[in-house]
Amino acid sequence: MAVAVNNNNSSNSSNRVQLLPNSGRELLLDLKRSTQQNVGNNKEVPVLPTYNNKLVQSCLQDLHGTIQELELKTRLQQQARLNDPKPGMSDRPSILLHDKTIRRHKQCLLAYHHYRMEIIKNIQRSKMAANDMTMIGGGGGGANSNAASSNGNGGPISTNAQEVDFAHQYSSLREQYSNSVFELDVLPPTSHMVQVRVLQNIGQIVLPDSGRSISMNKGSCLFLDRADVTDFLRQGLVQLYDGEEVDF
Amino acid sequence: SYYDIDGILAEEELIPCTTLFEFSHLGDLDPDGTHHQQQQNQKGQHEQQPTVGTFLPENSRIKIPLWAVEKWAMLGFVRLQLPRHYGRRARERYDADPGDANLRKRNERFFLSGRRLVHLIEQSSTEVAKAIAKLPRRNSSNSMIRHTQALKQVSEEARSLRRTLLQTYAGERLRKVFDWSQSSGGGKESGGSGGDYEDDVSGYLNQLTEMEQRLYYAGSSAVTDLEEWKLYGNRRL
Repeated sequence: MAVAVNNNNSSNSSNRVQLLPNSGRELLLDLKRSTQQNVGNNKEVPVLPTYNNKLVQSCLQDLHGTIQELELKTRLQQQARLNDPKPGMSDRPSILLHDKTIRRHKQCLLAYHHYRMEIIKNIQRSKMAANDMTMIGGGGGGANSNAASSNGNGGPISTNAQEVDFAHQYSSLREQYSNSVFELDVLPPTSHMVQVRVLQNIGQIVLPDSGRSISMNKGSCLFLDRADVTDFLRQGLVQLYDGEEVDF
Repeated sequence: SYYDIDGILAEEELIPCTTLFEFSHLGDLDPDGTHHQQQQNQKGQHEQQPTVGTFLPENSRIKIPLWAVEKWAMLGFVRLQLPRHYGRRARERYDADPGDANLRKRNERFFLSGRRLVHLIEQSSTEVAKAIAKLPRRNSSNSMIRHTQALKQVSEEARSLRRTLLQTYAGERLRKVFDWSQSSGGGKESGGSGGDYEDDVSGYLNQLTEMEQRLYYAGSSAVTDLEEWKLYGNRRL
């Protein structure tokens, strides 16, 4: 039985597009392989695989070649059948196959870029969450625009300029939204409450967000809403306390 | 989903099919090319073709990816057959011993491809049967009758394949995946804090399909998270 494979040995292959190009398939297989290699490294921080520009360009070339082939065949068919606009029965399978091939290439390219976009969004979300926790812990370092488009090692998040731009815009959009609506948090709801130890005598105060009245004496451990204690943490009046028994 | 990469790759499965009439410009789908070369010689001068090998004659048997043959099957341009590893003999082997079958060797996305194929055969058979039923009775010929019988046969095979896929996935293999994921400790995705029960599962994993591997890693990761919570997460508020 004959198998429909890439006809690299065909005498006309240099002038004709392959009927069933496999560049889209190769692109997705490469993405799967790169993703599996990165899986074992660190499951907390997602890693973006290297952008395979060569395969993407190859896929685009096949796509354009197939479009041109389809246009040529349609024109030849219309010239041959001047009185009948509908293609003949024997011509229809090739037209349908070319149309399907074009859609297939588009799907492969879109799936490839969509997958990478989701990874970039996850990276940005985890970075913003890490920055939030650093600020609450009194680290003081905030996210800046350069960090938004860079990876953990300081280099750009991707070798593709559009992806770097997307990462930056996504980060800005997310920050803008969180500032205007409410504080976005990637942790489960229980993390809204934090346990803190008071470091200095402050006395009876009314919390700014919840409106509760509490007594903050030195050494006392309190379980409060994170939004209430953010300012106190920044000023160093309280410290985060994980609840484990320690020897003082 | 449109963007599902495993779904896209599952449609790369090569499906054997038979053309029901002559296809123009697709002679390259048949790399042998000898029979339609001879046919062109026999056709004579009044039917000259622009290039050699541009026609795929009727009743040519070719293998073409699932995504490419879908439209042809729905319109009744080809008659589909099942690939060898989904055929009757293979199904009997899977039914006899599903646990030890190396399905990954046949197709990394064995179950997904099989499900898509079954769906395509059922849909295309229904559509073509409807179209044949609408034809006037006087137009039915021997070839039409043969085609209808072939459709029925392939539909029955598709139903049988569906049962086999379900039984193969959901029986002993699923039990084994659960068992190994819960008891073998650290997999590829986890931190490997299994301790006493870190077994080398690579030999077992190499026989699993993508879907089964994902299930295994999800189970293994859950076990690791549970162990971690037992050690560090169980604290007073």
